[in-house]
Amino acid sequence: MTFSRRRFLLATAATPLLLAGCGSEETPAAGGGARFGTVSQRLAWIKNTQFAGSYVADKKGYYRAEGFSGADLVAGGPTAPPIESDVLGRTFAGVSQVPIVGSAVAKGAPLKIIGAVYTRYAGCVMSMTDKPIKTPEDLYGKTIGCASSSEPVWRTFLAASGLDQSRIKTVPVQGNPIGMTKGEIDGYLGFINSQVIDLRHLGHDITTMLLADVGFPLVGQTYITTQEHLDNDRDQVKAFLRAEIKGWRDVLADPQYATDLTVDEYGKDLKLDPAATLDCCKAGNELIRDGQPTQQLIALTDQQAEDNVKAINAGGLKLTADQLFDLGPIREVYQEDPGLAATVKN
Amino acid sequence: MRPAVRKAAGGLLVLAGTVVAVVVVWSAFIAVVDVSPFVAKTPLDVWTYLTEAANRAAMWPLLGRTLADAALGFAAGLGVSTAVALLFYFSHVAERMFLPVLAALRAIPMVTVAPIIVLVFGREEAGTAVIGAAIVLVPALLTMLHGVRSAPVAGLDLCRAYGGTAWTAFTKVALPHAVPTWFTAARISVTTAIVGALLAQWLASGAGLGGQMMRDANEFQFDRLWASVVVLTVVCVAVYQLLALVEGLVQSRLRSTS
Repeated sequence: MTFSRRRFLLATAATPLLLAGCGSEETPAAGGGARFGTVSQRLAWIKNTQFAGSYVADKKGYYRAEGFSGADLVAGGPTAPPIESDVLGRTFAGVSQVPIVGSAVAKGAPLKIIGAVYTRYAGCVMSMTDKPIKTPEDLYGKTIGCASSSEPVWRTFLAASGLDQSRIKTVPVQGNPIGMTKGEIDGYLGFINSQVIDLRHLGHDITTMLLADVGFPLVGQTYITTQEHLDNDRDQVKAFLRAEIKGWRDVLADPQYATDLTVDEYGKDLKLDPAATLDCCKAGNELIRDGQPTQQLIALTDQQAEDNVKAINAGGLKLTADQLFDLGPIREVYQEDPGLAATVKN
Repeated sequence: MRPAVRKAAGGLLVLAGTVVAVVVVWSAFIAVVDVSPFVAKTPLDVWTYLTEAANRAAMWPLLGRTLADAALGFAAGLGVSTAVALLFYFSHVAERMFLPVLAALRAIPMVTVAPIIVLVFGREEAGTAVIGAAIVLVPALLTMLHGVRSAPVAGLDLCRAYGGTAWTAFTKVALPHAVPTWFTAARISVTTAIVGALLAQWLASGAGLGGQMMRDANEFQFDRLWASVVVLTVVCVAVYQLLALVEGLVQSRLRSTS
């Protein structure tokens, strides 16, 4: 059969109508009509398992169930613009680190932290087990590699721990900490749920010192949004938090499902190793848990907020907890629906 | 005397035009793109930052370190490319063997080989010199090769006809013709050397303006970051102009003696 030009034109002209037809049929089916538009979120890094809760929330329709028409998960990475910049201009929310948000807020950026996935920051000093760094004092006289994106946290840690910074040499290591396995550097500021697992899967014997275990009170994977959204779109902020809570609850309950979703779908281009990714996901879950039988995911106590502000102020900022955090929406979410709290199986 | 004054005045006029054009394009770009004013800084923001003495005082030592690193890479890169250019001049076999390899090496991004360079040469002067030289080498070498080859065939033939050796032909004919191109290579390499120094500081030492600019982006110090970019740009233009001046002097002198 030959396709005449006229038929071709007719066919192409009809396509948008068909597509529009599909769309209008589908939307009401998913969650009784979208009250809000697409919820966009700027991720802190590439689409690895660190953001699995958001993938689950998207895949299982939690965003739609909360009234969004869909979700746009914007990947970050070494060459991406600053997270705070995207949240100020383009996306509804973002995932960032406390010291960086603190620097932005200190510069007058109208941003707030509205919750955090990790109750303990994922950063750790990695070292080779035959020359281990186990305590902060072990850092003296050592050369520590640090990616430029982690330097604010590292400086904050050194200042907050009262360590003599002149006795620790920090050098830039962008990306792969392979120099550590060759003895070029003594330690590397990596993530317990990322480079540590990658190097162990390559057969290296790695010792870790989780910053949280040596008294560093930072929370990790903080959600941020603008003051404008908090003032004008509070319902949307709460809907977003509810969807994230549900997503992360599923990640805690079924890390294998979260891993498969990361490896096969959301982070497919990264060609992640399934076994290592599962270990990363489980290590991340350990950072989420606070050890209680039921846990209000993403919520922070006032004490945690105070401790975080105190730590970054030691690094040279002058902020109050109220300037950096707005924990109102997440509190209201749990007051309105206490059943959202996760029951953690141990 | 009067033409010199007129020339200087013309130069200043062009410079003023360039500055105005850059400021206009920069302001227009900021106005058009959708980036938060906390990140995208205007010429006025940078001016305000740089007019504060404390900010400037903090920047000079870092700039000094970057320029010292650039000088290191520049010297190493030009030294190596001069040696290689001479080798290639006398041995076509060597040129055919290694020139494509050298040109291809340039396609490998420095970010990926930096960890290996650091592993072998360390993070201090040696590593900085190697990273800088690697950035400078290929464009400088190609320019120099072009120069050393541009000697007039008639001159070389004359040398040979009078029983001169290849060495005589080189020193009497090829080299004088290559000198101006050597200065051209130096001129195009000097800005590349500054880029090389920034790369070395970002990837190896963490020192100087390069190290600080990387931290600025992550510490929300965008005033300082933009100001650093402006200062570096001005320095690059100034150094480039300086070398262009030297190149012009050398060329006119060689012309008058030949």
